[in-house]
Amino acid sequence: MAEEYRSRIISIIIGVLYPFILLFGFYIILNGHLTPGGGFQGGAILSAVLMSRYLVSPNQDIRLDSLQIVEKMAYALIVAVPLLFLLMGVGGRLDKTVYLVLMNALIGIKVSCGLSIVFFRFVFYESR
Amino acid sequence: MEWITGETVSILLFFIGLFGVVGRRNIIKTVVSIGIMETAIILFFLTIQGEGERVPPIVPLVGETVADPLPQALMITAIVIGVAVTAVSLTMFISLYHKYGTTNWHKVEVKRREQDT
Amino acid sequence: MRRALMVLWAALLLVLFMVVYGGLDQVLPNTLQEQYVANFQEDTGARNAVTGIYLDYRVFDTLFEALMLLVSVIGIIHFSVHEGEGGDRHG
Repeated sequence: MAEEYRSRIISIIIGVLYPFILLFGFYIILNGHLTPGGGFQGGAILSAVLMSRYLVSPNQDIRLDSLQIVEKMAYALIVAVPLLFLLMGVGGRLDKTVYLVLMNALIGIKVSCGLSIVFFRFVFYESR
Repeated sequence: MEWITGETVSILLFFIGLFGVVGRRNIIKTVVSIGIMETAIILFFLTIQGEGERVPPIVPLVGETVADPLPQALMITAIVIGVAVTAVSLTMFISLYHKYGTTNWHKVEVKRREQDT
Repeated sequence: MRRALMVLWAALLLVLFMVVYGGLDQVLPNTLQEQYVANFQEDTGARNAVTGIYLDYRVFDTLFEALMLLVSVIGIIHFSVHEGEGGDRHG
């Protein structure tokens, strides 16, 4: 996107909308066990943050490799957390709630990183 | 108009997508048709015991019949797989377009045969 | 000509499917649904039954779905490297 195609209106509106998108995504992730929603849905909303960041400043300064490292670490934790809870033996209701919130948060982080990588890869590397 | 239910609409959509896969030679249209078929399958599964006056399976269960939570939980997986399939096939299409310069399955086949010989 | 043939073929398949599908009259019992709806609160501690199934009853499904998304992202990164690009620092 060239310099002259950037809209000032969109920049300002997205700057105002940033915290609300973040808040909505985290709300959906952290309340996934109480209300409709969950890790995948909230992660998809969180990936909209980085996509709208591209609309404001289309620079190539985003670090895709560190995003990918975060995604792989999140997947390792997704595999490890159920094993850990299984080996420790989940007992009370509090343990189960902790497990659900933790898994939802990890899946949300992983999905948002994955969708952001897909988007930036398409935008930066396929537009030739 | 009571025949317009999720079931019949999803079956019709699935066959529209099938026609798009078998009847068109554009690669982009093939990818879009696969997406339509996935959507039809998701709609079909969501209407299994989930139509009409059933209430969602969330704890203040106000109502007599509750929708089946199992197909809904399975369809989250199906949506993720649909996203992944669409993204990977579009990426493969872009590589193929850089190599052969066409969006037609038939022309790609012809060009590949020419390059082999 | 070919397009009309394909429309005819898909419509024929649709009619065939509808005939077979309309002839089904076996109703399966929904014991699984009843058990899930009756037990998910004390089994999983969730108030949303879909999350309970997604993260507790069928957690293997979730694990391999996440693995598949990871593999597809890696596949996208490696498919979209073109010739003459050199080393890309974003890989």
